[in-house]
Amino acid sequence: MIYYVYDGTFEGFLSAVTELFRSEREGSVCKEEDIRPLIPHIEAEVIEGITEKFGEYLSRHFGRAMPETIYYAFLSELPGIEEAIIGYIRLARKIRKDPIDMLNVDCVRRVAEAYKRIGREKHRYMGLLRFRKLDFAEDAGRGEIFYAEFEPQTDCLSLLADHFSDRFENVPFMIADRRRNKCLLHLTGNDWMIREFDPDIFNGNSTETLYEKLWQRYFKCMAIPERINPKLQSSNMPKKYWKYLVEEPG
Amino acid sequence: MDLMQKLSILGEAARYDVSCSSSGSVRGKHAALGKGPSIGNAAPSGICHSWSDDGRCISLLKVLMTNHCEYNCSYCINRKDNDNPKAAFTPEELAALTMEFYKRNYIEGLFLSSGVVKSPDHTMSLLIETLTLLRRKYCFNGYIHVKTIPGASPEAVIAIGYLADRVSANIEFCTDESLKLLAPGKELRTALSPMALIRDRREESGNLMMHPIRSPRFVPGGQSTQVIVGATGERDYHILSMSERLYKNYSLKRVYYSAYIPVNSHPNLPAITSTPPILREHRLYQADFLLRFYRFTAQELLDNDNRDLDFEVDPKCDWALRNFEQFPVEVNKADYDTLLRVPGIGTLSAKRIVAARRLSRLGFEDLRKIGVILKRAVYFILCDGKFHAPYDLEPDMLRSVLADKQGKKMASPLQMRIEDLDLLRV
Repeated sequence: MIYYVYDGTFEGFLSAVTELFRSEREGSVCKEEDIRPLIPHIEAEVIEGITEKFGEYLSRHFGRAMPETIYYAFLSELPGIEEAIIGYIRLARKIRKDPIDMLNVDCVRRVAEAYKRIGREKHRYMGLLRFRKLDFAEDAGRGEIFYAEFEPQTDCLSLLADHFSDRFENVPFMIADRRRNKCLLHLTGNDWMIREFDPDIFNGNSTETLYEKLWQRYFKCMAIPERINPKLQSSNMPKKYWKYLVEEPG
Repeated sequence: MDLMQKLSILGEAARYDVSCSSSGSVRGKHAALGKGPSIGNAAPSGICHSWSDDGRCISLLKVLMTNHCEYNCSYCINRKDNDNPKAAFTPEELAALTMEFYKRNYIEGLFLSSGVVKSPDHTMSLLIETLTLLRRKYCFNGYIHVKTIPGASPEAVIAIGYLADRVSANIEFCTDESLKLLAPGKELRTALSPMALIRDRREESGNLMMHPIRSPRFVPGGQSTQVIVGATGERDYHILSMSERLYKNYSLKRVYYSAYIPVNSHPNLPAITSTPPILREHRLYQADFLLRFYRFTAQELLDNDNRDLDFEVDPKCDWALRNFEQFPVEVNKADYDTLLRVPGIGTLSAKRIVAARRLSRLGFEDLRKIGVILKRAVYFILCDGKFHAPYDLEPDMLRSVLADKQGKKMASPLQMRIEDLDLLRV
């Protein structure tokens, strides 16, 4: 049993998986930080262009849905998901098709669950992110940017990029993942990038409160007093999502 | 009056409209009507942005243009004789507010309705002006739902249909008798004729879409309507038959059911102290899903001898218990439609069963693994010829075993947006 160790990135993961498959040995892959001492392991080098190559390989042999399934599952960060993805790919190679419907096989079910979980979180945040208009001044001049922050359980930041870039094509915005300390930055057009987040950049620049107050009031007005139902509210919108909302549920 | 006050009054006045859907419309960049760079899009799945303290989803900025009204419908909070505070937005005010909320991701778009001021067409012209500002001046390409004003001219309905994603005309009551009692001046016809108009124009513009790429889109998100439940003597059978007719003949996307909340005192209405029939509303939504996704007919669920939905068990369970001779069914053999009729098996589970059994025969444990909820289904299925229920009961006994616990499962399917998506996905 041998472990291929990778750097925590998706490219690193795919590189480690590739090396494992090439070696034809019994084994698995593991993040650098998770490897225990004295366990025999090999550090996998990142193979250039591996994401594209691997994706092409998967979609050519097993259908176009598979690369996305694996990418989403990986970003879910569920414990043991690497193992499940490897099992899932091995099964695909064995039966020569995408086994995603075989939910009675453990590794497939875990991949499917991870996929669903991150998809659900992504969808929730498409609605629950709240932007604030912030002014900033820098060498290049003054400007304004719409800023949102959140602490998602899965690493879904990059999955939100296309949705918001398409919706707010001509609006500069930034979404910060405060748990992982990185942010998505969009200036104009469909282009976006992910960068390390510096919490100090907007220091003390929050300006407007008018629309936040309007929204808070509107939110309270929408509840029908005869139907108040906190249980239903928190089952639809669990409390872990409340921290960064503008409105005040409950 | 400042914007804060207007927003409170006109939001509160609109909250009894239950529709919150923002789904079913796709607005690509080419759909933008403005000349400048557009902002916004519509997600076909719909997106909920919050859930208010009553647990209902908030997706759109749902407001009235004004709550002044010429009508005096006795069930309505905004009727003429009510002396609650009145307010009105100007089209510019409302369009600007919508944009500011949208840019902060509070909302998916606008749901605009109104009391009737001066005349139906005058009111429509205010709505049209607001939408025109949004679409052309602000280049807004997000979701807009408009409720047409009863009695509006066909020209006004058509004009607004080219600006909105969804248009609805509320039926409110299923019979002319009820309308006469509570909404003098309205007839079923006033709601049904704009529906027919929109249906026909949608079909036409659908055909047109085949040719010119940039042809304007007419009500791309389809139509919906709302029925008030529990204000008058209508039975569930009347309501469901009406819904079925609307889905079939008018191609409606959704019929919404609104448990009547007493807001006015009137001899023809339930007492102001009565509680809204929320469980009945819930059962109607369940039955509505059976019509739309489970290939049931209203006649199968209810008939003249059996005119109201059961409170104890859900409508599918009730149907299965009344047709007990059709069960149990073998999960490895039954076709998709038959699986859909098993209590506890939804569209998602049925699809998973059909997909998984191609690869291997399914035993009871396999069903559990692929995520089929077996609590109710277990009494109605065989797995590889075996019956796995803890007891083999007659329908009457089984009914009490399967009964919902009081107060449990009161969530209305209207709010189950994410589950809704799952239904449509696989």
